[in-house]
Amino acid sequence: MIRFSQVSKRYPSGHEALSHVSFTLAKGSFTFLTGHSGAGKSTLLKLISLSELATRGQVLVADKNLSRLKGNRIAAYRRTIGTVFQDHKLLHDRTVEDNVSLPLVVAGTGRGETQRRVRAALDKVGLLNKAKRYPITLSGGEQQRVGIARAVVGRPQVLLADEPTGNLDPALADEIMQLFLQFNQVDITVLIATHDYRHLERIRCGVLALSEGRLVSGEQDA
Amino acid sequence: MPKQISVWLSRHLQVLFDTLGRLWKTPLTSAMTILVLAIAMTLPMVLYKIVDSLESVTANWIDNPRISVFLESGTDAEIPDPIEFGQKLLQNPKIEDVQYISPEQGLEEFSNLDGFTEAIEALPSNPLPPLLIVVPATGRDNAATITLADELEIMQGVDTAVYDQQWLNRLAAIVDLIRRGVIVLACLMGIGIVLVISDTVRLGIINRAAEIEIIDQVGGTHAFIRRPFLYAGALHCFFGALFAWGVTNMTLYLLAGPVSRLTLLYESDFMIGWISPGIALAVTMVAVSLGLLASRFTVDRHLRGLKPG
Repeated sequence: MIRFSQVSKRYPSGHEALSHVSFTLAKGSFTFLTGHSGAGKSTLLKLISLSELATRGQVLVADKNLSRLKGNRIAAYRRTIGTVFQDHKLLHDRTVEDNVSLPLVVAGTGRGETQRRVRAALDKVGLLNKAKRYPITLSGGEQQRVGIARAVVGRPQVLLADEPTGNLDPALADEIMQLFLQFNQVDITVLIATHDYRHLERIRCGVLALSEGRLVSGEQDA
Repeated sequence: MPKQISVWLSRHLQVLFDTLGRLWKTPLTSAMTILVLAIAMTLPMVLYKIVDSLESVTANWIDNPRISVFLESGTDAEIPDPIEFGQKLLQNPKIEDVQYISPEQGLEEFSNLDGFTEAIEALPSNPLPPLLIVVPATGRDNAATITLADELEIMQGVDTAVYDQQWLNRLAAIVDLIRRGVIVLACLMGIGIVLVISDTVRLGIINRAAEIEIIDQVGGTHAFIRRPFLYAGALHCFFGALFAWGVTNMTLYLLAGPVSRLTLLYESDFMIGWISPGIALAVTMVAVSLGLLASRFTVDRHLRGLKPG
């Protein structure tokens, strides 16, 4: 599903965030991406969500070479990727359901279908009763779950999460992780960047470990 | 296919109403921007209308030159009878028509004019000479008219023959100058509109930067991101133009009174009139196009920064 071959990313400032990273993630896999801060976790996720382009090497997602995508194909590709951010990135002037419906609205989904899928996604994360609320009135954990509902409402093939539990207490963090596991069971490929090693011990899954922009453990076969 | 069209239409309607709602939510800011745009459009429109009206009047005058032939007055036997003299002039092939205005008629016309009545009453006798208005057969040919006036002046019994073209030529030159000024002003105001819209859209982008980033991230196309800003630019200009139409007609209304008093003094039926719906529509279309162009340019400059790098 996701394949990195000898991927390096150097920012215009000269900082090399990733060097010669190669790995393959199978469709429907569940993988943690670990490493200290600044190891290149966020950069790796941004290469998959096509917020950044690799300086060298190839990133293939669902057999698409991301560096070849241009214009509206970038937008179309991003609709197949759900992203959860540490800081939620919710729009505070819109209700919870309007936030969650955004990926469907930009995709031009019909109104009835949109409503149905937004309710389903909110139900899944347990926030159906707060659909009309504004994000600011919700707790941190609830806001994160709104972010997750938005990430999955478009039925993505890949779900990316950048430190999704970074600001949450352990009980809430476990709840969130359970949610990701549930989505994984419906064949979504999940990749979660975290430095919370508790999860690694509990959940059996693949691990990619980064250090100073290099892959120090994980699949290297690409 | 009809379904795609209805989806497309409903999307655009949604953005339209959303943009109108945003304009309404910040009434003061929107009103000020729209007013600035309206003023930018009003100035050239008012000037255009004045030039347009002046031109139609002067064209009429220039097309029909007249020579005023003032005859010597008195009871001397050598002085020909004005009517007979006029008949004689009509035989000249260079003359198309001759109209006689007697001293009495002249005096009556003067006394109809503001401010002249008392002056005329104070006169002991009618000082006006008999007057023949000569219409040359040579039409707009200025040189031919001047030659004819010179010929008329040396005729027996003629005091002076005045071809009053010079001030008309000056007026035409002034009108020409103002017209050039209108074009220059309209171009400058067009640039002004582009700058105002660019700035408004730029501020809108800054205010909605988070939203743009998220829409980009969840797969919104650049067209989708651009759309509300295009609508904002177009709507500002549309309302600006509508307002400008009203303000222009109000200005013309305020000018109409003094202008008609002034033109009465020049014995003219000059009228400024209103901005026609056709002109208003043209100005609206140009303004909306400029608004669309300016917002498109501004958003695209921002969108370039969103491309993965």
